[in-house]
Amino acid sequence: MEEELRIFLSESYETLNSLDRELIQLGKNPESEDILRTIHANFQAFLESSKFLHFSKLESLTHIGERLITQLIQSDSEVSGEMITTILKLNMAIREVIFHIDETGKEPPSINNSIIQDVEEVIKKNEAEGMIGDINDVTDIFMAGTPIPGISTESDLTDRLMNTVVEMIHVRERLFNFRPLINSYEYSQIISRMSTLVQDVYTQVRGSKTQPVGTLVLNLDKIIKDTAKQLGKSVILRIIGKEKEVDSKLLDGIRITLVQLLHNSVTHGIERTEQRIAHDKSPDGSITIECFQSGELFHAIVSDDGEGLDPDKIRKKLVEKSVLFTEEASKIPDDEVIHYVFKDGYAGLNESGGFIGGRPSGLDIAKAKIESMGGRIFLKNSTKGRGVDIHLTLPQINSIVSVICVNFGKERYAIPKIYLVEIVPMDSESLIKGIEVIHGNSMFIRKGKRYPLIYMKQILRYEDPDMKEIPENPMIHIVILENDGMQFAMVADGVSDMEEAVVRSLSSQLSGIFLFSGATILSDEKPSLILDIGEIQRHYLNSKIIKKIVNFENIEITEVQTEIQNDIEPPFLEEFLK
Amino acid sequence: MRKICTFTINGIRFGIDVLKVMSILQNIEIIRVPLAGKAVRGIIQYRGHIITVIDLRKKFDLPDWESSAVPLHAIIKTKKGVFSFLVDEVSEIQEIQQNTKVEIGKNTQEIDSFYVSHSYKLDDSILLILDAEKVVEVKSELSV
Repeated sequence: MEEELRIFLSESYETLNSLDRELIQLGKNPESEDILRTIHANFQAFLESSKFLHFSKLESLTHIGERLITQLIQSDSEVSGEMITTILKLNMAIREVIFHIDETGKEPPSINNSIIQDVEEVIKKNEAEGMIGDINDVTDIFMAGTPIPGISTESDLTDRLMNTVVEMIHVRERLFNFRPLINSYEYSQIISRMSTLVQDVYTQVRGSKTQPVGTLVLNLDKIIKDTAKQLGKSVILRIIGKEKEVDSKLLDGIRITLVQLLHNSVTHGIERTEQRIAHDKSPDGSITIECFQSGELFHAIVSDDGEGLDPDKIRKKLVEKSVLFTEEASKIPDDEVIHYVFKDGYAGLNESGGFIGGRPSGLDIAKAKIESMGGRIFLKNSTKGRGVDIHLTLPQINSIVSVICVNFGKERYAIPKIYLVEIVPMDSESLIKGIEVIHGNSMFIRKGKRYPLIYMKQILRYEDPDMKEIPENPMIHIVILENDGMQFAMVADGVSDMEEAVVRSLSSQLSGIFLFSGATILSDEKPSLILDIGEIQRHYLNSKIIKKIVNFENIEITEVQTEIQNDIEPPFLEEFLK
Repeated sequence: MRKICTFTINGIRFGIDVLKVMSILQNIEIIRVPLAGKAVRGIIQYRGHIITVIDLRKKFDLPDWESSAVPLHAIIKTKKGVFSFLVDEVSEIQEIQQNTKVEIGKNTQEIDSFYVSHSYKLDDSILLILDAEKVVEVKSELSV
């Protein structure tokens, strides 16, 4: 028996490890039947040996696992993340039993039966869904009027309600357009009343689809404290804006991202207590998560007061990984090189899963997660010895925002009102007089202030074959916007009235395009992309030189040269006015 | 027996399970999306939703549309949401017997067999069944 048990245990550990590996593979290739078959074989192996050795609890765990996998193989559809999580949980339960057998030679007197019940339910649910298995995910985007056969869960219902309400809001906006045409007090009254009712329904449905961020941060505190303790550190977590509501579907992604960022801060940012005291800092490190909403976006800023990023370490890493030559890297100023931490292509630089420029690849996970939800993540600030601020934004799907529409050529884009400072109409001749090009950067001058000018047609790759049809000296509009304390200007060919619009998400093919935070349907029923003003500002106007020009500061020639080498697109005025 | 909605692109016949086809539309204004991939023609509005339009000719590296052509939007459900596939024309709903299934590979010289789930042998021709999931797949996606 002794010998048998020894063999059983060593085999079991091998099988468990194999299961772990296969489950990771399955996460990457959820449609692979081969991987499922391997997992199935693993469960069967467990089942056989547990029967042989009369481990009844292990037998019941592996039996249910085997049934689930058999079902998944037969269903012929992609394995969902939820399903993988279930298998992982089962795997963990099995591992615990094995550990217990290893220690005591016996099975634990009792096991957590809830996992078996959970899996049982999943199996039943899959059976009930049967045929509709592969159109399952459509329900969340799909709409009233196209009922999906089979079960209708509560979330289906609210999703459909939401879609209907969104359509009602579109209709309402169109009705508003008619108000000046029908000059009747009574009509106005009815429209207002109806509008309030629609708003009411919207608020209630939305309320049922959102949750306060506070619900997810409850256990963050514990995770942080535990990690900190293990490392001999002490950290205080503060959360501002717990009551801010986010779409329940985003909550999980936000949680994963925050865990990565917090873990990162605790492990690599915050110093050990004695080190902090030596550096004249408070003994407890502090991490703050600040949540707020503005316009179409939900924001969270994660700040720590730890060591901060070391620009030299990042340079060294960039050179080591052949992203830059030593000379190039040394020319990039400290406050710019740190942003490489979140640059595209930086992810995956680090095969060992260890450090990137003094920071671990947890940031890559956070970035990938946020971007998969159509959001953005960037380094807001970091001072060596003073800490790091990381800012993330996510579009608030289905929220209502006030937007103005601006035309660039024949195309139209929506800009949330919150960014708008002023619209200045003028003819293009006065515009040319009002523009000054300083060190290659175009500035719009108005009342003694300099506004960096963004040439949207160029950025949007606008090409108009019928350009000649447009009159030579048209009226244009300077749209002055503000983000993060910086004011800047865009030249628009037309601007329309403000309207209320519902933020819609873009498909995964498009959500990665930094120019847009989402899309919306305007009152003329045509879709329009929402410009991500914050991201555009950061992308095109984040250079130090532009900031200096705006503030009328002196600029050294060497700075301009570095800037040009850094490849920040200088806008070409001639091209725009051609 | 399966019911397949059939359509043609550049003379090639394709099919998609009718259960996945929500609607066929024509003459809808497409809004261009700057910096999008080459196969993405833009977005349209469909019943209050924003839908991405995939140009199947571009996706399959087939010759471009003639300027006079009026492509149709086949509105398709996928696991990644709803998409519009631009096609030349839509023909009848074909009923398929399972036993007419033939091996893929040798019958898909025209397009990358990656996008074909399987093919059926009809009386006088071959019908390629499109794998809609593969068509809308984002290749560089990071799985986390």
